[in-house]
Amino acid sequence: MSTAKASLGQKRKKQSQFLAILKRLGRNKLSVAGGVILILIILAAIFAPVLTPYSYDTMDSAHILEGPSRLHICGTDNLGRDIFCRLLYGARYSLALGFVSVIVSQFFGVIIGSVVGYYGGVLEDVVMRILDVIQSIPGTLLTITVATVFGSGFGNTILALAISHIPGSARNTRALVLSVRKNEYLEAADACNCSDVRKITTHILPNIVSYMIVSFITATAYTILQAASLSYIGLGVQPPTPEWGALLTNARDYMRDYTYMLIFPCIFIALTVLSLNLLGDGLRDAMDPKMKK
Amino acid sequence: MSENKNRFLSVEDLVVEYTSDGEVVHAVNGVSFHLEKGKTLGLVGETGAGKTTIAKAIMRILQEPPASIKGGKILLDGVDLLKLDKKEMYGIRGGKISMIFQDPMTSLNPVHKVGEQIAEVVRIHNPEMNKAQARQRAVEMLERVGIPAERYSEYPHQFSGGMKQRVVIAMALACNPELLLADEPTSALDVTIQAEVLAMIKKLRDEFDTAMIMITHDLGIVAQVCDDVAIVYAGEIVEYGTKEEIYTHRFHPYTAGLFGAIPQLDVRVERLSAIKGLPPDPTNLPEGCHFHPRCPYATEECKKGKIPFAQVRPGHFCRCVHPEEGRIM
Amino acid sequence: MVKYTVKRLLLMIPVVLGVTILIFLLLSLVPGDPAKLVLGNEATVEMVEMKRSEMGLDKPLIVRMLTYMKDVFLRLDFGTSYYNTTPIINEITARLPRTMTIAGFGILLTTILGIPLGILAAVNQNGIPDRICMILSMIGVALPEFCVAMVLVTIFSSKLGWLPPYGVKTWTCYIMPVIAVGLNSMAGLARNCRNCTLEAIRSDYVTTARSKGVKEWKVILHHVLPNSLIPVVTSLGTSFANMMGGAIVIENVFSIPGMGQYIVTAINSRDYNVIQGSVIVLAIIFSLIILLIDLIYAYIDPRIKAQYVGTGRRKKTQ
Repeated sequence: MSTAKASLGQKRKKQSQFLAILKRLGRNKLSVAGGVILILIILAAIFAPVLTPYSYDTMDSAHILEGPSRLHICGTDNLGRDIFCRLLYGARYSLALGFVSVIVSQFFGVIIGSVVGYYGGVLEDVVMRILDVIQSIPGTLLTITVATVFGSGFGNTILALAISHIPGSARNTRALVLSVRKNEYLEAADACNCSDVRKITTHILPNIVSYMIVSFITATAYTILQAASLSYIGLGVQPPTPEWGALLTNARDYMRDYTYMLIFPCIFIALTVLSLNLLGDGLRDAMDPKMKK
Repeated sequence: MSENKNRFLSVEDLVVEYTSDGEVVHAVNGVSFHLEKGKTLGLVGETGAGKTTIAKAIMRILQEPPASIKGGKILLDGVDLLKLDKKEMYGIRGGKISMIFQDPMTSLNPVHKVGEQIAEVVRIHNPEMNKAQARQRAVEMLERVGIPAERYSEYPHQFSGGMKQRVVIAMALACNPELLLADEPTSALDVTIQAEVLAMIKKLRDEFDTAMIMITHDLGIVAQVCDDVAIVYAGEIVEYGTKEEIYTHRFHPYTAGLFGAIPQLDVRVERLSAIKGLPPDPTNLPEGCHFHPRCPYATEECKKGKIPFAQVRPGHFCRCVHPEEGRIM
Repeated sequence: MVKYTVKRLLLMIPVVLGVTILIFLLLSLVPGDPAKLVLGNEATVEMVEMKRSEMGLDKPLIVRMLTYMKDVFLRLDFGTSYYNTTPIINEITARLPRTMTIAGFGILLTTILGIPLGILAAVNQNGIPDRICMILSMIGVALPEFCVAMVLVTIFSSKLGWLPPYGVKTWTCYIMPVIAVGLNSMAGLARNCRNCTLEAIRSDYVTTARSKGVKEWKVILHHVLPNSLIPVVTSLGTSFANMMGGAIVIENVFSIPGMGQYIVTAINSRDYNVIQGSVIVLAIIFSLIILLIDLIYAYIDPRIKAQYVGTGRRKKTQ
């Protein structure tokens, strides 16, 4: 009877691993705050038309460079456009730039990294040397160069960000795969005559998925910052598209006297990146196998 | 005086808890034992029974938090170690008491030369020595554990597991400690090396006339090196006596279970018996006797109250409601 | 150690050649004809043809690439800009020191403040320095460098008037750029240092050191830090990359005539020759920095050192 009870206990623990992670995440107040803010920003981006009566490119020459007021809670810019409205619509572009380009780069990075890490040999040597070459260009510089090739615009910027992050993602995945490959359960899988595809998909990837989720979130935060920098130096998304970086570029000439043009976009970027990082940290702690009992 | 000599180390009602994420792990729940000079006590139990925590509490090297010593006394020569301040403890650790750890692969600092790691402890506890003298002593210790002097300047990664453990032993004994805590010193080693290292510990213990607490789950090791045995289960000592007593008369069903799991050459059995079930969850220990959910002899009485630690034969104590000799699990 | 250094330097050669080829090929993918671009819309077909052969564009890609590489590596000649005849290398030698000053002082600021903060935070886990470290590391990475730069300019130049908002006339001009590029990396480094130190503090050899009676401050100084700083040193490479990237962007905020401004101007005027030369030079410098960091790493970690230094090499023995 006691045995039955004990094994029942084991089973219960196993099933609720996902719930346990959520529970541990829930105990981390900062991460919960991060998650809530992030959801709010995403909702605000989706429901932007409902939340603001203005459109992001309607100019109003009667109301240029007005400070925050009841009508325009973040003020208006040099063309009389409502900044709050532009920030909400801008969230669509900035978040999409971050998420989409990271999804693309992680997708290819994981494929390259896991194949290379798994098979090793000449293929690994060749790919790693190529990655060495690519990564001897500082990250931002690489992104700038690729963005130069593709040109500006929303789609091109996503492509440029995605492509320039594939090498890093591939390298990380390879390192993770190598660390998992050493484990005996892979030898056990070998002994069971497991196919390579099956080994990669059922034995390797599930073991690194938690790291990948965390790196996905932190990479998104970083990419949002990079996208803003690209817009600032004239690559990236172009006006009148209200991407956050572009808003700041616009603020450059006015920030001396109209500080709010600088402050509000800063707050939006900082909040988004901060909440992504808090969520990523919390998830990493919650999924850390060392903390599992 | 004789009283003092008899009770060189005595641990009384030691309670240690770990707190993490609001959960309290009851690691050590009222452990008492004593040790005479030059004797060896074996702490035997399964993984997670709280053995290592007892040793670390004696050394006062528990990570606090999450660990905290909730009560009890640890008297060494009549001085309560738990009442000493940090500074006084520095002088005791590594000098009067030293410890050998379970995993030699990680217990040496990878960036320092092995010889210097031994010389460091020598210098701490013999401030009158200069560097050359400390080095001399370290070399001497290396040679005593069978490592040639010229390997003084090598780094841990250049040593195998067995050799590293010898270095750890040399380090532990470098200052002639009165008490040596050996925490599963051979579990992480290859079986062939285990015997060598164990023989070395035994030999050096006798040469240095050191009292020792041997933490292990291996009753074979206990038979080789210990004088007294304490069987630990769920943070409590469930049976205590001299080695001869415990090996010939077993009263607690858990002890019987442990011995049932050892193969014997002279008895023919179909399969070794194992203790059914798992050790209890230390955050939620069962009421009454902590062993009752796994015990085939458990009755209603076992499920409530504190079980007394009663003397069953002279010098032989057992924490069981129904102590009875020669049970089979 | 000398042998190792030489070996690593030799290994750098294929990487540098690879970077050059990569950048050359990448930029040759850009749509449009540079000759047309230089001459403008009114140019006749003949004029464009002449310009093309003058710029060497009529030759096959592989020939152009080899010629370019020969010029770069044998004569240090990166060609000229599309729009004027000043050799690119002259511009680079004038501008590079300014960019490297920002990046160099940035990394200095990062290390001097970031590492001690991380160590303090780890030693007093959950204490006040730890809180400060965590808050700072969160805020420090939440804004892009140019944003920090703009905020700094607004506060210290426009509002308070303490620091010059642009230019390179005095050393005070460098204060804000250095802080702007350093803040992000400092936050990252402090955090990294904290985590590495915490991990080292929890390791078995630290328990061993404590069990020897080593005093707590000595445990940290002598047993924890030599181990925890090894991974921190390697992460300095990433920090430096961030520094260089950050400097390129923020030079435009402070109107500093460095590499970043050069590259950005070139991007906007599609002067690909300039971009090519600048990126190659910066990549070579970055490779050298990484090499330097690897050498420091090999020097402080006995496990790596033993592989390259003759003494103490011995196979494991039982």
